[in-house]
Amino acid sequence: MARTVVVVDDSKFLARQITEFFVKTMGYTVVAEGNDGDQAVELYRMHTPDLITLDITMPNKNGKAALNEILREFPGARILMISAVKGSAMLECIAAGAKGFVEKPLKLSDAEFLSDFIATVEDSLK
Amino acid sequence: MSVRRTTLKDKLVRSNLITISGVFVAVLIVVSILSVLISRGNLAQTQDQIRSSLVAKGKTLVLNNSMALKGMAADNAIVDVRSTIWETVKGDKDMLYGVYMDAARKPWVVAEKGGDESATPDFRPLADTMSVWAEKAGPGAYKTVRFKGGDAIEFAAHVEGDDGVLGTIRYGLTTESMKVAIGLAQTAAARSLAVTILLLIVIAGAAILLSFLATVRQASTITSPVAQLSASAREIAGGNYAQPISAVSDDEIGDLSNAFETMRVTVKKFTEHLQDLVDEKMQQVRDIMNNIDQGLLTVNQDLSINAEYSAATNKIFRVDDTSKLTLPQLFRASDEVARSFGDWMGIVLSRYQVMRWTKLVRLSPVQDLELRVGGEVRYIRVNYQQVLDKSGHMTRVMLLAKDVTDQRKIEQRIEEERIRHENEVRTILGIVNNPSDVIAAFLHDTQSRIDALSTRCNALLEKMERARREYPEGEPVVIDAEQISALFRDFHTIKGNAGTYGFDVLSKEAHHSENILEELREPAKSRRADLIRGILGHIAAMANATEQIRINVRMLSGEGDDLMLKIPSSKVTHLKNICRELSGMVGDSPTEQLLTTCMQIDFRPFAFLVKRYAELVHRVADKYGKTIEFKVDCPNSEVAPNALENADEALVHLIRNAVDHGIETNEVRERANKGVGLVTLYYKQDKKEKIIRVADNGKGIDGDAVVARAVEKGFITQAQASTMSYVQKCDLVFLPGLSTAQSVTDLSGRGVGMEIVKKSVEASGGRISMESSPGEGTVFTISLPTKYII
Repeated sequence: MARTVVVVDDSKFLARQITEFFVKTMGYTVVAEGNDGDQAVELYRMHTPDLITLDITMPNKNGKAALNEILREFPGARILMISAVKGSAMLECIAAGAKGFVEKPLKLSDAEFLSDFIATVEDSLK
Repeated sequence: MSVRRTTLKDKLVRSNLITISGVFVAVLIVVSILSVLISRGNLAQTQDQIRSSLVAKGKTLVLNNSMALKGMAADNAIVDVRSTIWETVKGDKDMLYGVYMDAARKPWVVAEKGGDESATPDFRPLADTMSVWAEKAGPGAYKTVRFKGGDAIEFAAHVEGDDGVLGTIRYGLTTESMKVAIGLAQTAAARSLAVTILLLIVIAGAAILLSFLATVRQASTITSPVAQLSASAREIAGGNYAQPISAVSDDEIGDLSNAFETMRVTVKKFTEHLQDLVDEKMQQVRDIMNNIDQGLLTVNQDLSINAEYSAATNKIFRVDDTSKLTLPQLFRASDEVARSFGDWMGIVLSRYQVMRWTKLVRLSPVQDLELRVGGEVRYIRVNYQQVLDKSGHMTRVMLLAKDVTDQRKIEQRIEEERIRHENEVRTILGIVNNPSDVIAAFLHDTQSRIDALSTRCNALLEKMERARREYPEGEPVVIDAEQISALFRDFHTIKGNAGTYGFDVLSKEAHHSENILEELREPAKSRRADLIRGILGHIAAMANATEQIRINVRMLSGEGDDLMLKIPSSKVTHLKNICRELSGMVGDSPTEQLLTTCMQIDFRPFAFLVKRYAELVHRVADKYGKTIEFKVDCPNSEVAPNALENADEALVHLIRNAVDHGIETNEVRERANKGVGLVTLYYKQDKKEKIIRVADNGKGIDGDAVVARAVEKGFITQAQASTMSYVQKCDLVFLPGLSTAQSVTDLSGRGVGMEIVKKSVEASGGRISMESSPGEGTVFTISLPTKYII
């Protein structure tokens, strides 16, 4: 059975791109898309997917807060950070328990970026 | 709490002592028992002897008396009997009593020691048990009896008459003396026993003491080498292999110490060997560390840096001793970054097995480092590697650092250069893509605006500075909004126009100026002279950019002498014709000049004329797979379009031959290390003649082959041939008929008949000559007279 994914990004366009990547490249099922931290937590509860991707800078509740909330409720949750945030924020998310991270911009036509994205997703699901 | 240890010596002494003491105590007991038994036996014997002597005495006395009394008794001489018995009783110290009784047991006399001698006994027969026993006793019989509280022995004997028993004589002897003798003997025996036992105890004590001393000594002899050995073993265990172990004795312990010594020597050798190996390896590591031109260090979990790091590290990071610092200190990181480093290290060490290293490295707070030391910026590229221990666990991170400042500076310069070129290209495109009059108008307009802006801004600045100088306390000069707007309009126009044509530098500078003007609009900043100075800087840059555009315009379309014009050739011919007519009519110097100018009006660079020869070279070269360059050399800046008209046939032949036959194949040239094949076309023209040269750097002409061919054809004799120089031999190639055949081609290195070339040149009134040098190449020189088309 195909892996299930929830994609959360405050940019609807990017969320669409990420979804497309999961569906077309990875062959996973994207069960839902969200656009802020509150939705991220809600959608995780609703679907308990194999993987959830989170942006860090998001309205209502940022990615890090959403990450902490999901992990508090589901300690085994597999969370992948996809963000352009530089500095210690990404480090903090990984320290808090995110399985992996991908840096924006999403250069999905760049072979190197794509193979890193695939490997990161696979590592996160191990 | 220390536990008292029992030494081997103590144990030996103790066990020996226990054994010896045990033996001695046993011996003592046995000897004592034996002594007691012997002394008891001796005593009993003595008692028997004493008793026997008493009994013998009693018996003798009784028997003697019975004999002595026989007559008296028979005679009934009672008095005599009495006195005899009394005498006997009194005369012996041991005698207690003496009794004589007749056969009817009637006592004649009862004499008791110390008794009354005169008393007459009662003649009633005695009926006591002793008397009864005595009556019946045999001669010398005796029996122990109690007498007056003491022990006594009664001896009895019958006094026999001729007709039978007359009576019985009885004597009681005390055993007291016997007892005394026995007591004495007993005392003596006991004393001797006590002496014996005491002696034994003393001997035993002495023996135990002696054996203790002997054992201690012996134990020392055994244990001291062991103690010595164990001390040596402790030394070895402590890592000191230097002290030799000498043989301590000639027994098994000696063997052991020899074995120990062998072991020590072996261990010492092995250890030294190991130490050498370790030293060597360490030296290798140190050599690498000292010579590697990169920063190399390892970082522990707590971000401390290990002692082994490359010498270059200190230099790169501008520190004295890297290992005295933590990684954030080495990086001069802020507290926040230092904390992040701690977090990062934690993640690295906990996730290295599940996350890819490249990803973990990306999380590091420092990737490329800009180190500011003493006002200087150094760019350091930092690279992280994982360090796994033997069991595959990561406990440390290796860090490689490289100073890329110079590289970065070059990159920056290249980038600046690129931007400059890009701007230049944009400028050129702007110029090319727009009509020249439009560009000229733009330049004129922009220049006047820049001049005006410059003047106004300088005036403003001067005004402000003067005001400050003359009235330091007075109201500062305020630039009013209208002035700002006027300046703004000019900048905006320049920006818009420059943008239209793609003159980006200019429009960017104008844009910056606009920004400053916007700032000046704010009341708080409306009096700042430095902002005006900033605008003036931008104006200078704009003037510079405008000048650059102007230079490019001049370069592209020409200006003055360089301007190129396209004129239809029919008009040129027409103009020439007019000039020719005119010169015929007037014939003065200015007309001559006009004519010359007209003649040269359609002159062009020589390179324009030789395109077809270049194509010929490349076509033929491609056919034979040769790599050949075609070069043009012409001292005249421009030549007439028909300059090569008369030489065309000759040139085609010469160039084709040079490529086809003159220049060797690539392989041959490579072997001879001759480089690329080169065909050069030289052209020079003056008023009298044109010189055209076709040169190649090929194999040159084989003079001998040419001569052989000429002899074969009968052009010259063998004798003539033998006297010819190389130059003369080469000249033979121009002989008609020599070089027509294909075979000659191969021999001479020249193909199609040179006579054709020669004829065509001569037909135009010219000459041809040739120089060749074997292995270096051939040069054909054609000289033609210059024809003026008048």
